[in-house]
Amino acid sequence: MKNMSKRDATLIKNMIFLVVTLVLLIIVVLSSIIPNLEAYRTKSVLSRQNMTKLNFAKEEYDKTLKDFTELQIKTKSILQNFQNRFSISKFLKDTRKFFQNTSMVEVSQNESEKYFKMYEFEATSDIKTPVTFYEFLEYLSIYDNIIEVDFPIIFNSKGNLISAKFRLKVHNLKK
Amino acid sequence: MSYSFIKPRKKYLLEGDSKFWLLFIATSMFILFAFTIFLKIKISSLEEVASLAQKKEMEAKEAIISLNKKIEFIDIQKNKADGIYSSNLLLRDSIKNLFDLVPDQITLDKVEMTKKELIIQGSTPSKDVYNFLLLAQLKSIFTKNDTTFYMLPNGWFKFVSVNKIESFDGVIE
Repeated sequence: MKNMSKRDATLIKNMIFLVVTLVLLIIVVLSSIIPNLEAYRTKSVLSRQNMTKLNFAKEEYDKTLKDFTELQIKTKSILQNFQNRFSISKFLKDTRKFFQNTSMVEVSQNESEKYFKMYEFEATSDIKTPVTFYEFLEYLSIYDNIIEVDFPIIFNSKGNLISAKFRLKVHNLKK
Repeated sequence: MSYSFIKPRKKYLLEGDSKFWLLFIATSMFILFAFTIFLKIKISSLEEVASLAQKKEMEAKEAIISLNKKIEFIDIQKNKADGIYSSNLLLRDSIKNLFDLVPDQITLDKVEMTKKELIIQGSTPSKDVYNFLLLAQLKSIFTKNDTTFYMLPNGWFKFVSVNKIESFDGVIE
């Protein structure tokens, strides 16, 4: 065998080291770096997508909350009126400006509606003119309870006064 | 007896350039390993962010559903109240219109209103006054009209007028 020079031996040694280095690098890159980079890319996209969806949901929530708050403010009195307990004595006192000699009798209750309970009363009172009755019907729009006037309505001449008999339906929220 | 002119040199397992190559390989592997660890930490962090964002999105959606249910309930109450207020005002207009129909010559004693019926009792100087000034108006509103007259000692007529309507809500317009 021909003797190798030291320079040739060094060259061969360096080439072997280079090949080994390249092989190791390729193995590490293929087995570890590339899969992790791919996973990073995927998770990055997923994270961005989820953040976008979250921002969209937050925007929608803020808008819905704003709508809800505005509606609550706008309907505050109605919501409260449905909760207020009806008092015959308070009602008689409050409607004294329209009626005289008023009497009220509860005739029925109805809970057939899903959210509401209804108490029906028969009211009898004296009024000076029919105009008073119109004003009473308008007054109910601002009263503390949700009250509906219903048939039968009977007006009877009573000298200088008119006797009015009518049904009142008081609507409350079910507890 | 000595066979060499020089003293023997020390021989190492790894010489200069081999050490360099090994150092180079070790450094490269270390860097790659560190980069892999860095990537794994970032991936874990992104997974956490994605998971948290998803969880918060679900919570926001549930909150939106809850708010929409509350809005729906408020709307139900508002619509019911508006309906009742409208009904009262419609009733006001109906009664007002009815009394506006009655001419000055006719005196009313009793007015009875139900959903589909109107009964009027009163007195009129003559049947013609009633027929031309009140009944004609009532006929335009009610589908069925029935009037009974009773003569009074003073020559006037007492009347009982039963009027029925076949409308959807029975409101007198």
